[in-house]
Amino acid sequence: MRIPLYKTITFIVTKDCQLACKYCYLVAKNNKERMSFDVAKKAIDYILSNREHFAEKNVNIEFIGGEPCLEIDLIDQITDYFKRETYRLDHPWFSTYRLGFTTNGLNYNSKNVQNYILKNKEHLDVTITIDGTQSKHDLNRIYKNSGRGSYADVVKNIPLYTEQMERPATKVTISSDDLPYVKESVLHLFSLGIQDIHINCVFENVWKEGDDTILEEQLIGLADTMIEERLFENRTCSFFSETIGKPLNPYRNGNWCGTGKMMSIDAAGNFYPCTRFAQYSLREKKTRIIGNIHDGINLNYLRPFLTLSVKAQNPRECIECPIASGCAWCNGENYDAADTSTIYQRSVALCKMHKARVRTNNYFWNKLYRTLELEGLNQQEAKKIIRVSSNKETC
Amino acid sequence: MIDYLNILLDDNSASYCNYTVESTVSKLIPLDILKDGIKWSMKNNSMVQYIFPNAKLPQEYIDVIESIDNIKIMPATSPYVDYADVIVFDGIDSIVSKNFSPTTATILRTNKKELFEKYSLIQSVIPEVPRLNLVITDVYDFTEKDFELYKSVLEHFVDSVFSCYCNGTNVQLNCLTDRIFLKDMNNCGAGVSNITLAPNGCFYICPAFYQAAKASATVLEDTFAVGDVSNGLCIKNHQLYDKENAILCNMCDSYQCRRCVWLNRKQTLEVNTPGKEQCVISHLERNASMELLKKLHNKGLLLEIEKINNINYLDPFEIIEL
Repeated sequence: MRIPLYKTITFIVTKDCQLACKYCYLVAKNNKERMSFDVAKKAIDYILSNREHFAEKNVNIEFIGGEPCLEIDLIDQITDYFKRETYRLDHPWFSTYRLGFTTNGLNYNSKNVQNYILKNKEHLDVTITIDGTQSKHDLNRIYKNSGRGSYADVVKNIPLYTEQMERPATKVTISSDDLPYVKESVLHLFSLGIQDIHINCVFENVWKEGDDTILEEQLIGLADTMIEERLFENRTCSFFSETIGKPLNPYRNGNWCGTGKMMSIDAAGNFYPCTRFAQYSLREKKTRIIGNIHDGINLNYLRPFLTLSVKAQNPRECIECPIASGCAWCNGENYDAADTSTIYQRSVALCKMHKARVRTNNYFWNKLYRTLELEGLNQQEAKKIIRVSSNKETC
Repeated sequence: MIDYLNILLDDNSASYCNYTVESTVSKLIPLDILKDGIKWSMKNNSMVQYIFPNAKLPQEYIDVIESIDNIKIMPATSPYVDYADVIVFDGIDSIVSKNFSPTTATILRTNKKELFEKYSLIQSVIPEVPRLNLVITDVYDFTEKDFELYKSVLEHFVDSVFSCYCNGTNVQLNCLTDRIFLKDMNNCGAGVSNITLAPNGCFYICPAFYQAAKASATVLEDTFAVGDVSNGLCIKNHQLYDKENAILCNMCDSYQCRRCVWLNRKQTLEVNTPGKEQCVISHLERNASMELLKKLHNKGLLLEIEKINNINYLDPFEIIEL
């Protein structure tokens, strides 16, 4: 089996969060499961001393919650230990590691968070989640105790964030109720200085009749504005990408999702193929633990994840779908929604939303190229001035 | 298409495969469920395979059992063993010095410890029995050292089978001769070509799923039942039992492998993904079959059979590229 270039290792440092976002897939957050430094240390010791299971040249160390910044001191301790140990062991990851976390932004300006960012800025990627306009953001992203929207407390930290990041980005999540706010939200985020917007519909089956029509209307409006105001030159919204909406590549059968190639560790020291397989992420199914800090990885439990192929997990209608490329899935959600305890049954809850996205994506590119052509640019010249989205779906 | 319906006549019906029967209390299949099972198999053109317990059955059961053409799988200690189509021996000692019918298939259930200690007793049985199916009950527990030991046992078996062929006795030993004669996967087929009816009236993919459901129904989220005899068969995600959706098996040429979906479920939590142990054991058998065929070819025997190619792995997982 080919060794991937990157290993992503995620520390679930806490399952607590100040917010109780309505669309959050973490269904069993709590303030009891906080990772101890001892568990994190043992995890690092295991990982660094078992190179045969962690042979990737590069590593992304991610911290997730709940809200990871609630445990910024622990994150700092873990980071320091990782750096010390990779140096001591002359481990190749000493010079190739990246650090990252996505935060709700509430504590972004705190002294400890800022110290951590400054200390690790050469290796660090931080994303603040802000969902768009206050209307959209506060519809879902509310405080767990008061139910109050968190927009005002996040947006005040955005200037500091955009100043510190080379290309400030955010993750936007869309569920059914906030569809009418998609266009205004993306444009609002651009106006705040966010340059790359990774946006996706939730994978859960929350979609109502007519939601695809609303999404389509919103994205057509967004496409028009992005072209009219020439936002395509230096801003990206991942909904628009030239790579989506094509048939699947028949020669590529690898899984879209990175589950199993990455690893998550929780407060109990259990290993998961990704965070979505930890119990706090699952509504219906039992957790899928693939090992722990004491016994190591159970490779048999990992095998189904590493052999997940497109063909084996997708229904025929998806494999043969003429616009299948870019239609994302989450293996954790697939597992949770499956009729049996399998990771090999793809959820198709997003089908109509993907189709709406592809229609508007086609519209965007056709209109954009025609506009630029009328300005006298051929396609090659046009491509040079269009900022391309990474089209990375986000979990 | 379900070619075979396995009917467990009792909760204590003999294990003829790698699963263990925990129950010690006899609980016969209710007569009406037995009759419904027979009716189901008639409607679906399935051959009934009865799995017998050790004990005697009431005459009314015998009458119903014989109301359809059938195959009888019995423990060697069954009072009806003379009528068996397949006899199951539990442990190597139980099979030694027995008389074997030329028309009866023989299953020998053993574990690795016994196999490694007493394989020579099996060698003495090989020439006596027309077909011997060796079932190792603790495949999931094999270590690297066990793989080496099994490889060496297979080498001894190669010598025994080779001698038989040289003497004109074309014996069958599943782990060695099946692969020689197969051109495609020929596996257990649980959930695809055969299904099991349990005494509770429910269908299961195979008896092992029923035994597991009995043992831990309160713990597992799955009951493992796939329908019942009144309402019919309902295998959710049935496609996962097909070889085409078993990525590792689909690229494999250890055609004799059982592809035990229960063992898959136990070891990897997915029915379509074998654990390393099942793969390596099947490949050791495949490679031993290759050596046996080479020897037979050198002796001028089975020249009509295509040779088996050398491969440089024991686990297809090592070479898979998606």
